Amino acid sequence: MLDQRKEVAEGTTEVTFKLQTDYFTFTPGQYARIRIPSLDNISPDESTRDFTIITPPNTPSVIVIAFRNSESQFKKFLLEAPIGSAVDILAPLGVFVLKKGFSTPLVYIANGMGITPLLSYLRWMEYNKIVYQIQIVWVNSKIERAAYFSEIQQIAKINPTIKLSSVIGKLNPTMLKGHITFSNNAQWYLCGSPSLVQMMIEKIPLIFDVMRENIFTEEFPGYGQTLMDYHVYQSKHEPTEVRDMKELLKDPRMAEAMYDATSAGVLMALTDKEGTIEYVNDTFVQVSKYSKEELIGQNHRILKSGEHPPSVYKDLWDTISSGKVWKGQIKNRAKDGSFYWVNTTIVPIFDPEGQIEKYISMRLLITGQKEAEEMKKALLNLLDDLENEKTNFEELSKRSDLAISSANIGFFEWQPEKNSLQVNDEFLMILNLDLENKNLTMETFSEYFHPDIKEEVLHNLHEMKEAGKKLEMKIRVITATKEEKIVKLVAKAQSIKNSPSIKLMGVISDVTEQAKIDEIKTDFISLASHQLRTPLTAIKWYSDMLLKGDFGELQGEQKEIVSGLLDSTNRMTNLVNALLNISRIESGRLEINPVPTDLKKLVIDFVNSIKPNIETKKLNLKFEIAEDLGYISIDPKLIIEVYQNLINNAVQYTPNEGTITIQVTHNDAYVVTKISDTGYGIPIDAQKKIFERFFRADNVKIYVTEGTGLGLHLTKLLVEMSGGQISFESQENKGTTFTFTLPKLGTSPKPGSITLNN
Amino acid sequence: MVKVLIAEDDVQLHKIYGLMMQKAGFEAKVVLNGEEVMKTLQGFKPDVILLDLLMPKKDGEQTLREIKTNPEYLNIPVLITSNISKENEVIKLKQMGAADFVVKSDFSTDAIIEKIKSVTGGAQ
Repeated sequence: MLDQRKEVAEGTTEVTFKLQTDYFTFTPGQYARIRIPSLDNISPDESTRDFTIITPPNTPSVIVIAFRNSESQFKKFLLEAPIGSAVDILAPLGVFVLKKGFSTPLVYIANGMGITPLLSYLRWMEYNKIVYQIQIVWVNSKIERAAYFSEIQQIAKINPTIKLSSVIGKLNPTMLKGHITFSNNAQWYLCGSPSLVQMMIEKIPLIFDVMRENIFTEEFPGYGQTLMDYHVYQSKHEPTEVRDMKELLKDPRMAEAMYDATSAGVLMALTDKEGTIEYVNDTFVQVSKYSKEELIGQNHRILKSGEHPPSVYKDLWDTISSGKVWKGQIKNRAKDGSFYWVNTTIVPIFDPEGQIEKYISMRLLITGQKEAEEMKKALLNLLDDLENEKTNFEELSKRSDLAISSANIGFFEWQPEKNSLQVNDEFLMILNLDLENKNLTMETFSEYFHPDIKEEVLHNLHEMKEAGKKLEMKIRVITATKEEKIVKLVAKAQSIKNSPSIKLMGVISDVTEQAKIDEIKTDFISLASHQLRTPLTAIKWYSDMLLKGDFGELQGEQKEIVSGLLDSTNRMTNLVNALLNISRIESGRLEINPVPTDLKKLVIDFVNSIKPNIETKKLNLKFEIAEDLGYISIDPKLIIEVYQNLINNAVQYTPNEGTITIQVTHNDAYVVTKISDTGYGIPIDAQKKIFERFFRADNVKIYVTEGTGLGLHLTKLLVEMSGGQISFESQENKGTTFTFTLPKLGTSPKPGSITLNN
Repeated sequence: MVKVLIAEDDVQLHKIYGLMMQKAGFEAKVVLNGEEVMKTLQGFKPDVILLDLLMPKKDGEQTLREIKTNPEYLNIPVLITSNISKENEVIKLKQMGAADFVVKSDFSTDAIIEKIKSVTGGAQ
């Protein structure tokens, strides 16, 4: 029931609703969904609105809200309806999202009425005598419009840990400079109009030392979740799908966990003990690309990617069904077939008898990968457009493509003739320049190049004299705030209509982080290769010479010992080589260079090189290689490694006088290689793990002490990178057959900076 | 007798090279860096030079460049012996005139000797 109405600032009204209950509680930051039934018929879209609850503490059975006056039907009602008019209220809803609670410093940036969630908190803190470190930057067009200003100012005055900056003007990122004194490890909270907030969220991490993940905003329906609607008052809109959640949320620990999870953009699901989905949140829906209806009632396994060995899934089920919490990284499959990686935690929930009743899962999308993909997609689209001359600078800078703005890509257009360099906001932000600073020239831009590369970069830019020419380079820059960054520049020269001269259009993006990671990986690879291999070489050569008798014939056991020394050293060297190859592959910078290859020759050449081993073991070797195999386009560096690993394994793990068969055939799509042996075989329980890193089956460890446990892992990576697949069949003490395919169409080439070390 | 000049800065490998060459019956000079290679070349005309890449003072690449641009030395085959095996590097060094590239840790002492023999084409 509408109970009171008063003007609290210029154009701002506070309304109090009296509830027909004595008991109403809410958490600061929660909001109320107010529905005006009489508007349902006139303008149904306008009959419901959400407002932050700012009821002062210890005033039960009322809901207080405040809003800027406007001409909308809804607000008109609130402003004009007689006191005592009835409304429907669904409350409390949502949460003021603070990932870590108030225990860490908070930077709160509010535009106008965006202050209300904080007001609600400040009142609660004041009432409960709790003080936290909060930095408030509050932007209003004029001070008369700042509702509750004196109250907030008063709270800030008596609490030295609360710092209030009231700014008059229009919210923009640069105006924050000078007001924010801490940003490290603080949570940021942005509140105001959604479009302003969105813009600020993207720009703040570029200016301040804060990560995107630590910036939060208000979560109204449509943006977030209404998970907390367990306490529903006077409502006709009984939520149905969250009934089970309501029960669970009575457990305060669970409520807290949910609260945290939703706020952090976690994918949440509730399943019964069989894994049938009972509840999913919006984030889950967005990421999995299934609708709620499609998910609820289904078993969670519909999201299974099948990309992990069965042992991973089994371990998961074994853990949770025994009542323990499972954590891990899982690759799932969305409805459209795309994959996504999630950091997953699954918690079993027990019924009063102590039996498992349900499972709650929380999954956090593994970002970085996601951002990199978005960035790549945005860049590709952009380059396509540039290529096809579908766009020009004006359009580009206006483009509000979220992927592009979230990827923070700067655009520029440079006309050497006119000495003009047009840029967008993102471009300036990458260089930490003031956004007003739009009158750049190539000379002023180049001031930010690192002196070591300045001449070279300018030379490259000036060389772009023919239309259609493309340029791609990484530039070390020193920004306006003296920060060193690596910026990737991609540009294309274009002709100017009715003019003989050209212009250069392009994009820049900040790739500093990526460059750092690449550097660390490269450093590791060279460190590992040089620092580990050099002492190994010395051990190897010394023992080698000792064994040859270069320093006198070795006697009895001496020979055996030195021979053991040499064996171990060789094993270590192989391990280093295999690790290096795996890191090369995993760095994503491995070059794939397919050339037409005679597989038959490749196999036979390799087998000839290991003939002595085959003869020593008196193995019977059979070849069944199709005569009409012809040439297949693969990277022989990768494939020779595959044959080496599989044939060497067959030789090593087959007892003397056994048989090894190498069969290469082809069907319509694939060249199929089968390498069979009559060896020790792979025990059933080891079969699931055979392609995992560092895994060696117990049975063969007795016969062959060397072996790194990396060979098959590497082999699988290589086959897959070549466009094929690998599988095996094995029976203990009977033998093993490894089968792998290679596409007849050949492997796709991939540029890269490193190759495999065979 | 095959004459070999080797640059190797790792103390242990430096020592083994000496022993290995002696046992193989080669006349060898083993030095610590590229600078010493250039100095030694003034009075010693080897049939082959083994060059490590990462060395103080003058590294393998620079030394190779100096050898291959000096008309007096450019016909001496140079074997690059390194534990760094970056493919781009290998290609670059071969284009610069290196006869071959050896990853030391993957070679036995016999294999090194064989390699030297094959490069020198059986010089006596």
